Amino acid sequence: MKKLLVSVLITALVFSLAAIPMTAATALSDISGHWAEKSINALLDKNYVSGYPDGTFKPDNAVTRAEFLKILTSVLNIPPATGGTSQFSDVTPEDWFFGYVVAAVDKGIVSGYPDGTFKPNNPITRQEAAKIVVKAQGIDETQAAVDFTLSMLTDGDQVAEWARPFVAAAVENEIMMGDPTGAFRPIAQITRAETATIGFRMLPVEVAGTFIFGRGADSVKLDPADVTDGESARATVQIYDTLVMFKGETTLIKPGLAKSWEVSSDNLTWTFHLRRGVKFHDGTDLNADAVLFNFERWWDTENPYHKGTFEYWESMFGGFKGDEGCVIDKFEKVDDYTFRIVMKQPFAPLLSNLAMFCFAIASPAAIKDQGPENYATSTEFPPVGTGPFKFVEWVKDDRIVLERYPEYWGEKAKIEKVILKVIPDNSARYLALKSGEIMGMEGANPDDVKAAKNDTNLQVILRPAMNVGTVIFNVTAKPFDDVRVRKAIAMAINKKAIVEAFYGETGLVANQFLPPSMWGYNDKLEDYPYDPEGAKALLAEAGYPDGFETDFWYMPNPRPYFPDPKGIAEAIAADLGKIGVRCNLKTEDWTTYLADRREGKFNLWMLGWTGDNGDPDNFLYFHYGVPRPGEGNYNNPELIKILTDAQKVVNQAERAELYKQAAAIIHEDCPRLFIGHNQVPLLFSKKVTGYVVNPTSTEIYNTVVILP
Amino acid sequence: MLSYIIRRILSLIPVLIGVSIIVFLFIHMIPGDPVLAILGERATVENVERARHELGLDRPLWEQYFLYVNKIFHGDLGRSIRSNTPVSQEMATKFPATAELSIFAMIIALIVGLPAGIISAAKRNSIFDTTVMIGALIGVSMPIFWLGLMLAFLFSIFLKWLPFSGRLDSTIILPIQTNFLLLDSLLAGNWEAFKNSLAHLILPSLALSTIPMAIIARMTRSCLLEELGQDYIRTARAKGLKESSVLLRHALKNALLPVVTIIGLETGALLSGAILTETIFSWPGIGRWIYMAIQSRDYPIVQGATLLIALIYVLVNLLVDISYAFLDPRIRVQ
Repeated sequence: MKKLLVSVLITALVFSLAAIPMTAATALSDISGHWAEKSINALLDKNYVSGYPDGTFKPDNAVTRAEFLKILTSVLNIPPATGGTSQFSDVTPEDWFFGYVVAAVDKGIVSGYPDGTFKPNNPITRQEAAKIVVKAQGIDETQAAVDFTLSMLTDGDQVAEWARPFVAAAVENEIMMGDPTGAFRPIAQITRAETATIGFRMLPVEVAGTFIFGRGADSVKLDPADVTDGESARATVQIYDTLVMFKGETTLIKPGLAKSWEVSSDNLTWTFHLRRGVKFHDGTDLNADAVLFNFERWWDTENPYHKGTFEYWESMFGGFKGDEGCVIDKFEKVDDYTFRIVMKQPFAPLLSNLAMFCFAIASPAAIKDQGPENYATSTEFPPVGTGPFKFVEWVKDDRIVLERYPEYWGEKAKIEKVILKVIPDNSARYLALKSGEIMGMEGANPDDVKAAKNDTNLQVILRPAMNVGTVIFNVTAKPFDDVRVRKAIAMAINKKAIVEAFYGETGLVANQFLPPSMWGYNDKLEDYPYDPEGAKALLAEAGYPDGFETDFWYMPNPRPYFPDPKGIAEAIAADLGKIGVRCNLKTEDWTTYLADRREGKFNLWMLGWTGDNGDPDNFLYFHYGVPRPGEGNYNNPELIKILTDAQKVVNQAERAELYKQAAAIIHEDCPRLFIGHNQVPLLFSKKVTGYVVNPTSTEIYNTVVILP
Repeated sequence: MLSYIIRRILSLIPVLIGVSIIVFLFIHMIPGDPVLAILGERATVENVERARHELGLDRPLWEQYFLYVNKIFHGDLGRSIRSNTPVSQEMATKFPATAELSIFAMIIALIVGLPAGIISAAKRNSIFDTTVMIGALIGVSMPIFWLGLMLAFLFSIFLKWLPFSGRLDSTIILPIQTNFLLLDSLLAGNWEAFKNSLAHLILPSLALSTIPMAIIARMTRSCLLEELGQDYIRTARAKGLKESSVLLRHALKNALLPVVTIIGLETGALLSGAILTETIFSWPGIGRWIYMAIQSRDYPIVQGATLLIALIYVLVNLLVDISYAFLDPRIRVQ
């Protein structure tokens, strides 16, 4: 019985996959909601695969070698051979797969087994599939960083010796990527869904369309090293590449211009192996000299090309060349494609830092030709990088136009052009999206986000939160020098109500610095309960039975982490009023606010943080690594030691533990209140697909597809 | 007459020096500086001090001022602190955008406002008069933000007749020479670009014109009414002149003097940029430029732009004064 079933199934499989091209229009019952739904549908649309007569696709069934070839050759537009002879004893002209196998052998994609067979009806393992796709795509597997790439897979050691370069090449080229846990499963049989996904990734790219994105402000400058604003970054990440990059929707690291790297056993020397054959948009080569030029320019204030303030370098690496706080000792070119960074101390956040938009490699020739003052400031002085898009034009305060760079080393863009259009007013920008003048936007008013959700032509995508809105105490000023007062205030505020009212569906209640999507987040931490009575009692215990009066400063303008500072301040003040703490709400111009906060003029104020690189260090050490008036003079040596130690451990799991401890200490000392995290909503026309959101906002448009 | 004009132009110099000192002092007196504006939440003691030093902001104020003035005398308005672009270069793109919009808005305001005022005065207390005056009241008091969005919604989203953001469709390539896009498209002989930039001009200039239009209509009406009560009008009517002739040839000419003053002032105001209109219609003009520069404490831009505005006001006043001489021969004699 079982045998019969199997043979029926196999017949059906062969029949459906190969023999009868069925119409794809009929929806199949078992692919909706499947992880590979998009890929399967795309291939069904083109008739490269088809469903079973019973209306199913059976995505998790295995495919045979012959079937795999059939799909692959269809995707690559290789027509089956109509004549010729087969070199395999088990492939005869009578077989349905004869034409496909002959054509594939012809193209050098497959070669069969040493015993002269092809075993067409055997199942195919994932490592065999890797070899076939690498050959089919014409990828030179000898270029792969085999050891490094396999070491990034959890089961890289299970790959057969002969398959190692092919698996590495397939992973590096993002044709086969392994499952979400990081396993490749080399000897597992490949399924129909997986085959469809591979086929989808190999589909010849149809380059079409212009992606017009609306934003609230113009870029300041297109030299990423010398800017800090998100709008400059939005443009520069399209034009430039960094040595390492953020992976998909996460803050995990993947290779960029450096295809692999290793760190010495003392954790001080990092060696980066650069990708070969990469060219800047001006035709010059990317090599170790170019990388060295950029690093020297960033960190050496005496360098003739160091013209500007390079704030991010200073803030991420603790200072410039020769500064005591700077964590870097020197940079070295080892050979043309090997670059080395030597640290003064182990510095774990290095890779996260290097993935930031600001440490992108620019063409040394362009900087020299244009002069460091002028570089990347206008159309006349264009930015030159190696990224998936080339700069075309910049009309200040209006638009930046980029075009596809066809020689890009990575995933090439699927659109001809990108236009970043400035539309300062949020409502006007939303109207422009509705009218079709733009196809995507950021910075929508909450009401417009709601409207967009119900609009059949629009879609809303939430960017994972990487920010936090907080209320800070000056812990050296009365009455906030008493931890009971701080805790009482923490218990008096109804955070949940505030987040619901002011953040809406995009908000998350915060109880620590890190948002839950980041590694190092302490999920064991229990927040102070909302308990006005308990708060009152605690306040009385601290010697303030009738409460007290205090100034409470709020920011004049919204930030991502506080969508409506005034409203939130009023809600907090109302909550505090209930326990007898009378707040005089105060605000002032933003820049003045920042100045006064920095100089320690406030005792109770609102401010938050938007992370730069997804590393907990960037949240925790930045605020509490060094006691400052601007952080409420909070000074806990135990915490500072943990944060400093965490910089020196390279192992991510160990670091995560340290940050969890840090969160617990901060929670106990209560030097600031964590109110909410906000997920930024992005609005798109339904015609836009493939937009990958990233918590760091580093969103590169080479994956974007504009549907006709 | 010529010596009068020259004298007036020479008197510009002390005005501009005065303006430059006042602006310089005021912008530096506001707490906070460009470094803080750039760094935002990231501002720590160390990186602020260093960046201040790099930008020369730690020098004494008088020294900074003299460095600045010295540069101006060499024809250099400095570079933007944030973007490093020369201020003069940015000005050369922002000012034409504002000027094109202002001129267009003023033409609309005049075409509608003047006749409306005249007819209202002639037919005082008629239904037309009441309607115009109510319309004018609405015109001056309507929030431009609301009006702009309504215009955009009606003509761009609902009717799909006109574009509402920017100056030109992103797909149209136009070589820029003057930055007056209408002029540039004519120079390039690009009829498509001309039509497109004209279409982009309509909604913002309509929104921008409402206030001057209302003021001009009211001013024309009240000045004309005042003139119509004068003795010479009675004489003219007694002579049996046609009413239109009494109105347009005699009364209007005298009534125009204060109207011209108002037109001058309004033009000055329009040319110094309209933040709200520019914001709603994404018009890259001078108003938002200054606003953003003040927000980010981009001193060179604030200073350069304020000088430009002072210059505009002085020149517009000069033009108004000269036009008086043509309108009123008595002034010419003096």
